[in-house]
Amino acid sequence: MEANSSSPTPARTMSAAIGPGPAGDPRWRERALNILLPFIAVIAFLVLWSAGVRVFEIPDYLLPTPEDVIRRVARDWYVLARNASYTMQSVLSGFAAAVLVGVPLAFAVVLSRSVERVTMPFLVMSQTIPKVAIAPILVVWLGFGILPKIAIVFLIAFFPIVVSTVVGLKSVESDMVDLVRSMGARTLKIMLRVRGPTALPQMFAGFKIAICLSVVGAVVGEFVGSDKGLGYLLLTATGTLDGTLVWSALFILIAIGIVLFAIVSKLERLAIPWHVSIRAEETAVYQS
Amino acid sequence: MTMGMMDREVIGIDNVSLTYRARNSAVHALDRVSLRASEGEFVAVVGPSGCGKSTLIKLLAGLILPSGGVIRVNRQPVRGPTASIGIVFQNPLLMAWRTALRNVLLQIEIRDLPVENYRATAQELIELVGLEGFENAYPHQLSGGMQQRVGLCRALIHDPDLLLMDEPFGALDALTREQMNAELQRIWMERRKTVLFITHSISEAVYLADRVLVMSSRPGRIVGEINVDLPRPRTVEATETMAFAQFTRRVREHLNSGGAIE
Repeated sequence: MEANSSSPTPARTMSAAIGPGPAGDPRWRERALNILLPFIAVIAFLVLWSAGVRVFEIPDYLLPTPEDVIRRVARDWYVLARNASYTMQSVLSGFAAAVLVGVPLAFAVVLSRSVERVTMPFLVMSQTIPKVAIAPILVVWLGFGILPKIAIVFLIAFFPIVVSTVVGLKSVESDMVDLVRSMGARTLKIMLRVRGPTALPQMFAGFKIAICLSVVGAVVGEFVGSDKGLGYLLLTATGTLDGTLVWSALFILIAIGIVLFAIVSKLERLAIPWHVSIRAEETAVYQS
Repeated sequence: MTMGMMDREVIGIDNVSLTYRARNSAVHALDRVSLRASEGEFVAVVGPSGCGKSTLIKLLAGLILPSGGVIRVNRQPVRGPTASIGIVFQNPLLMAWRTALRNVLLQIEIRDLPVENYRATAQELIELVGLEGFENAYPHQLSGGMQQRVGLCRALIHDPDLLLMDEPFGALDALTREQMNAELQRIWMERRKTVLFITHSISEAVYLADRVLVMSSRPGRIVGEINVDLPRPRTVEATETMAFAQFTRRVREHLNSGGAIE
């Protein structure tokens, strides 16, 4: 779309690039498919599941039918909701702590080679220690309250955040750095004006991984020493062979994971509408 | 600017050498390069890849310091980045999250100048390069040539005395490149900035420049200087004339004698 310098055609070019098309444009079809297709896939999966359980007469302590699970969720919603909110607390606090520590740490690592050299071994160590193995130690240290759960969520979530933010901050072309340096920018300004925004796509990739891992972390924490939360509920229900309750807790955990992931994805769209990964979906609409 | 000021020196490079360390060997990039350009002059530097042409730009911009010799911009020794230059690289280097207008204003923001005072200038420049209507377009909505025009506006907005261009049209297709060359000539004739234009296209250099300097391959030295006294504005058709061909031949001869082309 090279515009002729003497007679640019902004109106046409611009609408081709960003403007919404006329009514009944393919966007609606695309949007409907975006919702409909996954929905149909999930329903089909549940139907198959249900049929399988019935045909093979699987006892419900091994695998209940999805409709039994849904009935159980409806009946015991209060218990599930109370425990879910406890789990959510550790997920959200741990994730928030991971962002608040991870992002500044990544900036520090990129700003200073010394910080990188000192922190990297600890960072990798924190990831290679199996979380399940240190969970009991954290309980001994931090007690039976919510703190050890938050600590585990934090430990599991902050690594992907740091690693992806560091990669993002470093992936700035050297010519770009030269350009802003020629404008008189120093390290800190380059960091905030150039590296920071450039890193956003990678940062969000890290956030997305981290939010999913956070849910895993919270459940691990609750397995070890807790009298509340969906992890605790899972453990006790398994102990009493209460299959529908086990699967109810699992359903809720999956739902929490999906919703949190969707929220982070939405924030990503708002933060970096200019990035290729977001735009690709836009243009796909016009190609279909 | 009056005719009397035309001889004011903007670029003064005296016996500049540069050696830098790469892994385990020392690279001799520039060898006693001397170059002068006076106000309003368009100087092109032609040379093979890796001859240190881009290094000249970085030295003038104050991004690196020479191992020997003196570099002056506006008769002031260069000790670091200054306000008196604007740079255009081969890559437009636009920020994907900023509109064309805000990319132009980046120069002002980074230099901590009052942005409000420069909005009108930015608009004026955008019109000068023929991008009116695209002020609020994002880089991905612009073609390569249009992106480079935005980069040119960004380099000019703070009214620098010296415009440094490092193979600015090297990544464009041949037709767009021709068009951009004509545009650049027009803009230069309107603004009369001193331009140092790095390229490896001989015809581009002859078409645009008042003076073409030829560099040898590494270590880069100036091995030839050709005054191009073709009348302006030069048309695209003029590039097919005998006079034009004579200039390109002379540039090529210097390149050959400098060992640039095997």
